[in-house]
Amino acid sequence: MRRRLYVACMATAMACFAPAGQRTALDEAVGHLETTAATLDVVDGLATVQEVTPGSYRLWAQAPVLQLRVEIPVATTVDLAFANVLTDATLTVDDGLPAAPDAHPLPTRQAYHLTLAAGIHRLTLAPPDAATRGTFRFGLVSDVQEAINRVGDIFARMAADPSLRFVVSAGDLTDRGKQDELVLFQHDLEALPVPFYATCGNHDIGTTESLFREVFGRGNFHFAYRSVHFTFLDSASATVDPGAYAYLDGWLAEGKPFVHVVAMHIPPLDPVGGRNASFASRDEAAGLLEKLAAGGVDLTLYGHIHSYYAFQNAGIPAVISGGGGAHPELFDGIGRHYVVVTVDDTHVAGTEIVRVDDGP
Amino acid sequence: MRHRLIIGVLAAALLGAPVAHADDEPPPKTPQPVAVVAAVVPGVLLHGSGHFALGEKRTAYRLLALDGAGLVALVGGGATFRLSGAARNLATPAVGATLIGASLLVGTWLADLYGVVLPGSAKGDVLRTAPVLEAEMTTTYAAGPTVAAALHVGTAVTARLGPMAIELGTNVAPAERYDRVEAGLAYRPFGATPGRPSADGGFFELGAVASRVRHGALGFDVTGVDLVTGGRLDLVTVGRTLRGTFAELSGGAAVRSLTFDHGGTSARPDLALLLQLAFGVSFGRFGDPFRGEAKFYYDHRHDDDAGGILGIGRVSGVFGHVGLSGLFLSRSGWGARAYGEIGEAGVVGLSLLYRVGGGR
Repeated sequence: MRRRLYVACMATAMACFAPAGQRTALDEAVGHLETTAATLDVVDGLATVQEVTPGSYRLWAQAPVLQLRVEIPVATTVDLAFANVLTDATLTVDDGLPAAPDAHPLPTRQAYHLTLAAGIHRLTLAPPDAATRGTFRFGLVSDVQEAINRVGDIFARMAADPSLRFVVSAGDLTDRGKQDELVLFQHDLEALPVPFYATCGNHDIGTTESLFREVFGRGNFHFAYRSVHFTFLDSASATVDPGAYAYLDGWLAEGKPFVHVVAMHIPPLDPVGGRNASFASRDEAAGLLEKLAAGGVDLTLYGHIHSYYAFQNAGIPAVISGGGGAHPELFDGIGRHYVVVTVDDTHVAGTEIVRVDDGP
Repeated sequence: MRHRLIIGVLAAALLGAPVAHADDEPPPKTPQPVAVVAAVVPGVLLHGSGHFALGEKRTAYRLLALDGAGLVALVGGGATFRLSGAARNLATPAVGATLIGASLLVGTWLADLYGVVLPGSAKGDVLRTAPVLEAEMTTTYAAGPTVAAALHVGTAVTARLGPMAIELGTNVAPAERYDRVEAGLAYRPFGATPGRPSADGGFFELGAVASRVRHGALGFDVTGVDLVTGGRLDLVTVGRTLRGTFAELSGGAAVRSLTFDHGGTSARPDLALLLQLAFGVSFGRFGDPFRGEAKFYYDHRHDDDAGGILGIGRVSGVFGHVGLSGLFLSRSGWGARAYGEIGEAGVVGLSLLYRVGGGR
């Protein structure tokens, strides 16, 4: 009994000192599933994997390109349902011909019925332009929170822009991070014809730290698309966990020769310094920014502050966009909005704010 | 009717109006159990209840009035912050009001407890003198999830001439390639100065401290100026049972310029709200061979070793850190100071100091 009490006290103390630490451990569990019928591993944990029924799996993608390792003990049929994927993505099995998907009414969903021999199979879901170069555009929307029931009109505006390849978010999709809110947000995303890649905000972990990971996936992750690197960091507790810093060092080295966009929820430094809607430690904040600058990062994207700010941090262009509908910053004249980023394999060509309604 | 009574009591207390009480009688020399219980219930909500039960009604009303003022500041500041969506022009004063309000709530309760729990013979005197010269050598150890464990060594010298004071300080942590130099100037229009003890332990100061900090391991420099005003209130001026206690409040702004090894110098200065609130207890009396004081404090700084307090869930990093410090002085002029702080990192420090002049 005393030992349990001691363990509980130590766990609470550790959680208080390193609240993001547990979430980095949760990240590492994302994308792995072992059942009697199959073992699935998503490379870099870029999708959640759930078993719906024996032999039937649902994956929620967090990147345009997914690579899976599927181990089958006995020849069998496997049903794979991919959600949050690019419409033109195709699945190849063991570097063979593309598999034919079943018909699905939603453009971001694909379902496959595969017959697999016993052994290890490598599956890749990727759009045809994944390895090409050239200009593309993506959207940024964050801080929806209590406006979850009216985010549809923002998605409708985004859906009307065919130039958007996907949408990214710096978090706070929900107000309290409850299961029903997270699932409702995924349901709202059906209005978007493109995938939506998000890290978590402080509100998304308001109920438990694990739910966001179970529903959307990792808070710390990285992918490359058309020679542009994207890194998402979990700064929802006003810090970045040391474990995530270890990942970041590798991602920065990998992305240094390329255009690199980094997104996180709480900005390291608030441009309105006295407000301090930023990291708990300004020393950590400045150290992170120096790390990003040394890594050649080209753009930083933040949420948390319910307005729009364009500025520079450590010489890196920065955008704070918290216009998803959460209680707005008054007197700023901004209102609900999203941001469109134009990027190619050499530079970030521009960011522009798209107003959905007038500011308070 | 009830509200009118409360408002009347608050107004009378704030204006210092005479209220029928037993204050003219000497306070009891031993703790009164009824007063101690009253200081807890209902004292935890109605601060001053302990003194009311003790018969120290004027002190009780003053504590209640300060408690009420704290509640108004806390609610007003918090509501302004929340309802304005942390508007850029309102957030900083709202945060300040909220923190001052919270400190009044905590401080008045601690004062009520102190006044009724501690027997009069155990109460000390707040220091009422100021040394001509004070030299201090400090060793500090800091460690946290994102702060590499580091041992700092610092020196500081303060020289006073009348109401003016000049401060010089250095601090180094070789393992972290950290060094800091600072120089400050302060003016004390009210309170003890060398050779001129004050009637009580209160003082008021205005000061400016310029500093340059090199964070070699993190790759950035900070150059800035802290503009601070504040002081100490000897709580014996609130009530005779509060002899030996004091409250401190200081606030201001830090203006900082960041220079990154790879990111250049920040285009605009970084501003920070400075606010330190403390409740302290003195021990020893005039002429005793050893004297000193201990204080519990809140420091809103986010740019020092401790940084802001991390939490689980939605609120993390908003608040600064808390600390406990103790000062020990001998009649010979030698003394020691010890402190511990909890923020994102834990910090413990120990100083050896020597004072010239000022008496003890």
